[in-house]
Amino acid sequence: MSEKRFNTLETVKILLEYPEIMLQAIQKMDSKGEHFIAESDLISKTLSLKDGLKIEEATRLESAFSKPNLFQSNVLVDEEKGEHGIRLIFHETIINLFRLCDASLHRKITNAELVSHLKGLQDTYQQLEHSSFLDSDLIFVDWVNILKTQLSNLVGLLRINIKRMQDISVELKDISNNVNDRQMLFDKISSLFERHIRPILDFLNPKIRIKEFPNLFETLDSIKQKFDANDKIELAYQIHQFSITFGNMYQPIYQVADEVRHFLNKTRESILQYNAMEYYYQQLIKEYETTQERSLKKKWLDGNAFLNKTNFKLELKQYNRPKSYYFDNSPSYFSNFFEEFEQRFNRNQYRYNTIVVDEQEIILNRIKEKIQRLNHIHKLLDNLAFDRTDDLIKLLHNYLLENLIDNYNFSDLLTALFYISRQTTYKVTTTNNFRFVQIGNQIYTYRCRYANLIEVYAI
Amino acid sequence: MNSDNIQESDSADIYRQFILGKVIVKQTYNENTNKLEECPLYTILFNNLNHFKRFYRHLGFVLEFHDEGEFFYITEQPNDLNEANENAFKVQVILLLIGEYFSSSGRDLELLCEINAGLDEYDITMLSSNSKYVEILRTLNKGKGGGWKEALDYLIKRNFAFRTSVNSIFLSSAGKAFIFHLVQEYAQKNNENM
Repeated sequence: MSEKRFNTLETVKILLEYPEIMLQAIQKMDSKGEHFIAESDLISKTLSLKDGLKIEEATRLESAFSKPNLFQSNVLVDEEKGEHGIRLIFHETIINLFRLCDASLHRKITNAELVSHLKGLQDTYQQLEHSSFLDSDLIFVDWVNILKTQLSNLVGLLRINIKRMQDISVELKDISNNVNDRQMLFDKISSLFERHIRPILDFLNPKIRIKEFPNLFETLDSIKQKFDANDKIELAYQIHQFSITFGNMYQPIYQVADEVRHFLNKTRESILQYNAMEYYYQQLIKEYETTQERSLKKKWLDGNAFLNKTNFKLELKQYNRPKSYYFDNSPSYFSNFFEEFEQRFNRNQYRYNTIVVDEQEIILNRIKEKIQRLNHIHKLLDNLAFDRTDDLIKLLHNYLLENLIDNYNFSDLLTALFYISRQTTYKVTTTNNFRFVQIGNQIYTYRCRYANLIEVYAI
Repeated sequence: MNSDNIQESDSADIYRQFILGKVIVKQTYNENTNKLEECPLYTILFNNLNHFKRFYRHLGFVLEFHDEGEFFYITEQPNDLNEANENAFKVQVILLLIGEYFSSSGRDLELLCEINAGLDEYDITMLSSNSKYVEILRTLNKGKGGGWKEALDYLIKRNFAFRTSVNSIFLSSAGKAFIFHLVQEYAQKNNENM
């Protein structure tokens, strides 16, 4: 290990040459909310940087960052031995210097800090109250300087914090609406608001007091009056200036608070909507899944169960309109009626076999033929006389086969069957015995029927 | 209010709408101006409420008004709970699916009811390709076909949504009422549980 020691200026120069080490360390410190830097972190970072350097540079780096050197140059003020290793406490000025170099490292102010600043001011005031107010009195001058320093620091601190909050507020506008990150973002911003924005807002509000103590403006006012009373006009004026400066800071932080509140409300609303939708959707899915269970009865979604959960009762049926009728007696009504009828008839006549008076119709000819054939068969059947038969169909079939020369087909058989069945002279009974008959190259199955001649008794 | 001031043709129009299962909303969408406009039938109903309530009672209906959604509708008296609720159930399920999809995509539900926001072609494609939704719609229709196109038509036909173009739809105040009713119910449940 090197025994080289650097003076403070040199040490700080080297620290600034390799700013990553301190910057990262401070960032880690802030994120954990601690006030020390772990020695192990420092060493590991130094070691990793050493790799890319020439031997001379590496040695310089190592020496500068060695604990003895840091102590002797007053950069390091204290060390603690904790459970997890050695903790290093750097001089406040060094930390603040690096914070200055990286805007994102400024520690956000908390309520506790503001209260402590206020207390400090009040203490100073009390000291001044009992002092001589003589420029020749060194103690008086000391306290005045302390007062001025306190006020300047406070102004600087508040200014930086407000700027930081304004930057965050601008970022919020571009934030993505990813549903998964929303809750986390909401919590983060919510905590930011409560712990950092609100304290500043309250601190700079002349109408608010923390506990029972006089607030910033009241304190400054008392100090100013004291100076006035003791003829220190210049000092009184300076205090007055400070008061105005603090007053001017209220508006920007108020605006930021407003924007953040708006964002929080919107996000809270979004999150609520999303949760509500998901909740009811899950209810619906549960209902749906019951339709997928074993029971064959439950095929479709049950409306009532779901409606009871949503509690939105509404009935929306479609009804049939009453059918209206139009009756009349006038000639125009009738002419309309018949016209309508004729049109429909003309449209449909080719669909149905309708009898038309005009003998040129082909359909009519076909009907005519059919009727002729029918009559022919009936005549033939009239000549057929039998007492009884065990198979009517067979009998008719044979008879027609013989006597019906042209194109004997199935419908003829049917015609004959119906004709005989309708005759009151015969009694036709159907059995459940199946037989078959062949006509042409088709085979027809039929139930066997037997027929008996009914004896007619003459009266 | 003197009920003689009501035009009979207007009354008939109102009746026709109710009979088709539509609700009469305060603001309807005008395709020509691309804006939401006051529905004259709603105004007539509103101004002559007593007359119309009596009128529909005589027909065997009850004329109801929904505060939040600002719409009128009729129900049958006595209430035939099963079938009438079927339709309400269908409307609610379709609206719920739309609401769930919309909020999952990170958008505020208020946008669903804006003329120029709402559901667009991309959304409809996404809805149709979600098999869970399609399955639920199928069960809703008791197996008779119907996907998202039919479901959206169902809403539009009854004035729960309006169509601004072939593939672009937004909800009416009636549709909005249901979705926000759910949000409020949920918020109340949550508060009770706290």
